[in-house]
Amino acid sequence: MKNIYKQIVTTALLAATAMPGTLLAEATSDDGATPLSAAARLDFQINIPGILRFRVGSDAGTIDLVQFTPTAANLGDDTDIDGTGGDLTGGEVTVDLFSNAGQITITPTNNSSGAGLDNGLGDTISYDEILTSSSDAAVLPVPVLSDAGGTTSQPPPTSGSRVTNLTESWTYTYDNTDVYPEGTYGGVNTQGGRVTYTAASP
Amino acid sequence: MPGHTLPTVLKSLLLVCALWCAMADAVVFNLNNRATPRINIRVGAAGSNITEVAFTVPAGQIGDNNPITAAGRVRIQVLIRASAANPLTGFLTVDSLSNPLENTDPGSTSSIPFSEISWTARDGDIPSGAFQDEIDQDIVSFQSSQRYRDFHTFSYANTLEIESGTYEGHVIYTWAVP
Repeated sequence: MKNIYKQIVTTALLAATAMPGTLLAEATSDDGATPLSAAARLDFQINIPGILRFRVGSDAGTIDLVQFTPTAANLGDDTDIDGTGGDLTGGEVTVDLFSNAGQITITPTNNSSGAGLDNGLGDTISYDEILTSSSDAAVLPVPVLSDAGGTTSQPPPTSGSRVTNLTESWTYTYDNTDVYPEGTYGGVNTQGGRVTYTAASP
Repeated sequence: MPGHTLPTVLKSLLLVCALWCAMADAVVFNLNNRATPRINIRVGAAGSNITEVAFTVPAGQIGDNNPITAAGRVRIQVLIRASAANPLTGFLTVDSLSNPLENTDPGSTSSIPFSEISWTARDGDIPSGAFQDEIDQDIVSFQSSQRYRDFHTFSYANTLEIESGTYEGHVIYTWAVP
């Protein structure tokens, strides 16, 4: 019977020691003449997960459409054409970026297979004709658009070397440098009209 | 009635047990005086290791000012004994500056100040407060001959948008008689 009790106690002690979160103490003493001093340490650990949150345009899953409509009178005369649409209207979109996981690189790609925007009749307008600007180019630069995609931008971290927390806006303008055959070029995820921005940490 | 005797006894036993448990949690113990002064401090529940308090911030809540409370309570206990003729006063201080919470990633220089961490005392004998990033922050003082015990629950204020990683550091409680 005594052995059974011993076994129970031993098992309980082992179980208690192995339990996650079991707290063990540091205890110290001092005695004798004053001054007296005893110290005990307490460890702390904080776990911060890595996160990357990126938004271009409307939130809640909406994909914005930016449109350009040059007039017949100024086709190809090099007069920049402002856009319409975007969550901020006027061809302007909100860009929100938050990450604590290192230097962020933003890369645009498109669904034109390197050909630019097309009108469905074999004619194309290069993405070079779409100009981009940022509300603060030093803080959150917008990458240049191209038919092949892949031109990157790197916003400097806003705190230390790994935290980026930015909200700016990007604006799109049609450069209007040439005359193209009539038609509607690009569109909602069609005719090479969709640009996808990808933000990535190391 | 015989049918009510057993439940009544059981209720009484339970009540006594509950009262006994409550008494066991009393936080101030009067001790016998001792010719040779002696002090003792204990932080944690039992054993000889250093207790660790851990916080894990959910990914969607980094730096959103919603505090994160650590699981479990930490026992803080100090004892001071001296002769009745020469009573002593013990002072509890904490150093939360010397060993800050640093990112364990060797490539990181990021740290979290201990002032992001506060505690709530269960009983208040060793009162609630917050670390102040000081070497010698006063917590409480007591006279001999007594033992004071409290249980602290720690919280991380979560006000910082800070880089990912595991941050580790420690504080040092000092119980001293000048």
